[in-house]
Amino acid sequence: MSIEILPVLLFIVPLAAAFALYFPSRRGNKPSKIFTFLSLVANLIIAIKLFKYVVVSGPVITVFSKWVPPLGINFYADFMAVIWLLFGNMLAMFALFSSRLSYTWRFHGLILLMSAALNGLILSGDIFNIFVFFEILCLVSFALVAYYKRKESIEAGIKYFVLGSVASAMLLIAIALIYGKAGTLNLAGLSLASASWPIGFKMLVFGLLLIGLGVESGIFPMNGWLFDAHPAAPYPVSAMLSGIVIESSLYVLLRVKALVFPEPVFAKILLLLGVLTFVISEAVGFFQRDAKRLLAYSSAGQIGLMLIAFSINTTFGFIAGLLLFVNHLLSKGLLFISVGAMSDRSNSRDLNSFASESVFADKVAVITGGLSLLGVPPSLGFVGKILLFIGLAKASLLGVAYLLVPFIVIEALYIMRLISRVYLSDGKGHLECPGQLVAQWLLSLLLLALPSIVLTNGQLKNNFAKKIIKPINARQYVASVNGLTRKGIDG
Amino acid sequence: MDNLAVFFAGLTVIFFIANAIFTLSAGFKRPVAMHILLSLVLTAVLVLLYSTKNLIVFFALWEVSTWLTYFMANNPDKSRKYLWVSLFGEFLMLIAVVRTIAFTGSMNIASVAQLGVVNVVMFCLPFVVKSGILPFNFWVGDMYTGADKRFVAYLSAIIGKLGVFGFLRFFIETGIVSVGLWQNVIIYLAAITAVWATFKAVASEDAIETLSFSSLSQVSFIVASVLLLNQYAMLGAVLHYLNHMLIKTGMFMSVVYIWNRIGSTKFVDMGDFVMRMPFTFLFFLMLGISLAGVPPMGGVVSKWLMYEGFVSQVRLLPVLLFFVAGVGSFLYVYRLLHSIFLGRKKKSMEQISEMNFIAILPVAVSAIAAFLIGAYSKPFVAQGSKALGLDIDSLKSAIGFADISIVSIVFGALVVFAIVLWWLLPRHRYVPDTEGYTAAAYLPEKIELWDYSYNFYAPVARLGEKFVKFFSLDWLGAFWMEYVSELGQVVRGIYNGALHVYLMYIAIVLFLSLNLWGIIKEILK
Amino acid sequence: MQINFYTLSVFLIVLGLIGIFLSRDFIKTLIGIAVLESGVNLLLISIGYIDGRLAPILFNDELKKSAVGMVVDPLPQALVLTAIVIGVGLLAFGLAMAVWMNNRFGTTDVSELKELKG
Repeated sequence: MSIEILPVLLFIVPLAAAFALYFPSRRGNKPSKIFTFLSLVANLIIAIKLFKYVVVSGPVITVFSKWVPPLGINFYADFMAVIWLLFGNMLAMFALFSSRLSYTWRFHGLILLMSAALNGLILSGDIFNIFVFFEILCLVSFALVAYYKRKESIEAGIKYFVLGSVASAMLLIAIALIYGKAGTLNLAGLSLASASWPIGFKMLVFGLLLIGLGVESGIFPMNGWLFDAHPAAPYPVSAMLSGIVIESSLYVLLRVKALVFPEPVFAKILLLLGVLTFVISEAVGFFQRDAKRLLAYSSAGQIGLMLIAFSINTTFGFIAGLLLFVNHLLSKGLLFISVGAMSDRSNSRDLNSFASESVFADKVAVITGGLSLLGVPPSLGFVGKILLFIGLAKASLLGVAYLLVPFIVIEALYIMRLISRVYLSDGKGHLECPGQLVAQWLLSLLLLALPSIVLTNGQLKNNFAKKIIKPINARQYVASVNGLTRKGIDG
Repeated sequence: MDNLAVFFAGLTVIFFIANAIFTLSAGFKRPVAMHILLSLVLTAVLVLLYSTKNLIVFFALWEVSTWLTYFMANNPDKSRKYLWVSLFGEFLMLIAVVRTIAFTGSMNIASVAQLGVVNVVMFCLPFVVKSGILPFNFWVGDMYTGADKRFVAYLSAIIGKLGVFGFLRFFIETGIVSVGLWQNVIIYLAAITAVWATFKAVASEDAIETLSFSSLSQVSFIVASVLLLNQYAMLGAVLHYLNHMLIKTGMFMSVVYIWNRIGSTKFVDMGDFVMRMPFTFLFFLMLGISLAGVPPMGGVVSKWLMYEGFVSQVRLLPVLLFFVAGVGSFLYVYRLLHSIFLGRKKKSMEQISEMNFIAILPVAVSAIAAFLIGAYSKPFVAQGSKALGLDIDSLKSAIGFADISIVSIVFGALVVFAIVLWWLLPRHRYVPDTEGYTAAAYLPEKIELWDYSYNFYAPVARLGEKFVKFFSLDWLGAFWMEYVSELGQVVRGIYNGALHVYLMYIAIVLFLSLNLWGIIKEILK
Repeated sequence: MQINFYTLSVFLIVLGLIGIFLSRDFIKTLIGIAVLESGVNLLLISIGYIDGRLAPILFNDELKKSAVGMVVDPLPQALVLTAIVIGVGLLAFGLAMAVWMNNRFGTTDVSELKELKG
């Protein structure tokens, strides 16, 4: 099987599974969950294969219907994309595995569609495809957030819906303006064309894109919905929302910014927004009494850190951003799964009472996830934070570092407040679904093992050095897309 | 591993073994296996910390030790101050580390000094924080009294003095020999901290609290001596590390053993334990004499060296303050001895018996070692100076000398004389008495109202009350918390849940992106 | 009078945004969203519009040979088709949520959404 079909499969498999879900669903919730899980496992295997290939041999470009860029649609899977894909699919699999047995086929179908949309979003190589996948993602997220149809779920869903609709309209306006100016939708073509646009126009389009993608991504001041959606949503959805959805929107924003808006003023805007997001989210998070809402503020803060990392424009910043991304995805996913499951079991999200039905696996999961999130050595978060600080020093932005320090300490305090409630509880809860247990143990082990794998794997480090700079380098991207002579496949 | 690392690592490992032996045999009611495992991990981390010269490894291990200490103390509420102030110091150290790596390209501790005083101060900040020196002294009381009793000995003996190691490693690597402004500031702060801690120890009603503030007082002295950068002072500091470790090991273990039996560490619940725990009393007495810095016990060796260092540098104000703190230590050592082992018998006496042989072993070894350091000080002084790379082997300096062995011999002779006297003279009769004689008056329930061991040093405590209150920084904390809470509530209002407000934020961003270029053009026209 | 489509679309967009920002009832918000979407779609189509050209349907040979100079840009039309469908999906979901809201809250007044805050 040629390698170019893999990216397409990443999108097609969950989509087809979502439609084929009809058959298992007639037999009940459990077969439907098993079927969904199997298709997500298949997705993960495909992602791993693609990851292995791309790490060794460079980007994979899939062309549809033999229309070579800049005329046709293409999927572009480079190093940054496959990392996102690998971990995103991994989290989806774990999140689903830990979901309760009372979730119906509607839930599973929506999760599959979300997975398909995420994969497509990260892979797509032209801006309108990004819009389409983004819309699918948004719509599915709205539905999943309001899944329980309780009062608070509907409230969260409506706020998310209105903000998300305005955002998608802004995104479409931006695309309209871009197309009007450039005549092409392909990201590589846009990169070439955007060199000649006036800066005022670029500012306008960037602002619209920022609204469009920033709402979904959790950037201040557009992240109000995030803190309502997390407490109200079911915990696998929270895990995926916080872990991969907001980060994928961030990924798209960064990809477009790197290709179409390379001027330093845009990096400065993102840096400012990143600092504001981090500072304000951590400050507000300190006062939270709702466990899941607290974790949501921590998510927004980490997104701020990632924004800072990616907008420093040095190698260190980029690697730091990637490490922060992986670390946040795994640790926040793990935290949401365990905290959310505990809240469900004890019917309360208040800090003092949510841990009353905890199990030993919960304690392990929360401590592992929490310490990784905070960047306690030797977790990935620690390496990420060190590289972030080194990047800030090299970019002469140490003032930002001084500003970040008190808020990192604040984050440590409130996360420890959450964690201490868990490990001091008596751990005699009753589990409804053993999947929660297994998912927690596996994710904890992964979190513990990953730093040693990453830091000691010589080949990975070499490839990092060689291939890291390439993905976000617009010229390389454009060259590889335009130099395309491979035969495409029928899409 | 260089000599400094060997010295510290060796002491830490020895302490770990002693602590493990004690923990297993002291009869704790809660399971100890996990605890011993965690302290093994902590010991391993610390040994690595002692041996590294790499900036990032040093920082990472320092942070791990902070987190491990927090978890082992097992009391999130009381350890919180420790956590945030330690983390704050550590992140400033991280910025210093990062600046050093980014601007000098080297990963060695030695290059921290190349970027100026600010870098040095930021790097050394966690050392000051861990040592509990003003203005970072507010975490000590809560952390020690709230810490898990299985861990508090480790906390005092090793963790409390990590800052000392940090400073020693820093100065030895960077080779700084001049005492600049920042060092002087810390020396004075340490002096004030020592006096403050002594007052707090004297006024305390809880044995663990007394011991913890005593630790703080001693550690401040050690840190100030290190910062003096005088070879006698630094040698004294290293030896005092050893002495203090021995003293606090023995004392904390005795108190924790008592706590295991009677469930309390308050002085009012203890009394006259010497009748049941004579050996513990003997060892405690020896350690107390060492703590006070009186010959023939080892405490005097290190204290003498430190005083020599200060006096030879003509730093009379700090050394005077430290001397006041030292005199204060007589007070609380006597308080400990009297309120725990002498004095009136209390109800808790029924639960007390002598420490079992295995548990008392570390205490005994500490006490005997304390005596040996005094009587045969040469090998210990030589070891200490080897750790520092110096060449001193006796207590002889430019301005004086001390030969403790002579004092030990004289002391030994006096002890023999006292025993002979005790044998010859008539004994007193022992009258059992568990309740006070009240002439049939009704005794109040609260023992604090009539037991004379309560508020033992009231006059001294009153003397230092205002001083202690000021430097406890509680007023600063209260002010800060109020200010921060109000600010926090305002910031919290950003996310007040109203959909229209969130839409307004989007409108603001939209407005900004629409008008920015136009406004700029207007301004430029 | 020539209708300037750009102005019209911007007008619709602004109208929709005002509708969303100022409406207290969720249904009115949905109507605002619909107007906003219409405006954006109009903008997108009118970018592809070139005065005096034909619709991009190649119904005879002459067109098939040299369509480039004779038809309007077909790409935005494809984009708008997609966007309209997406808009329909969004609105359908929004209306479903309005029904849920009415069932739970008894009203569609958006200021009743005040449980989650801080």
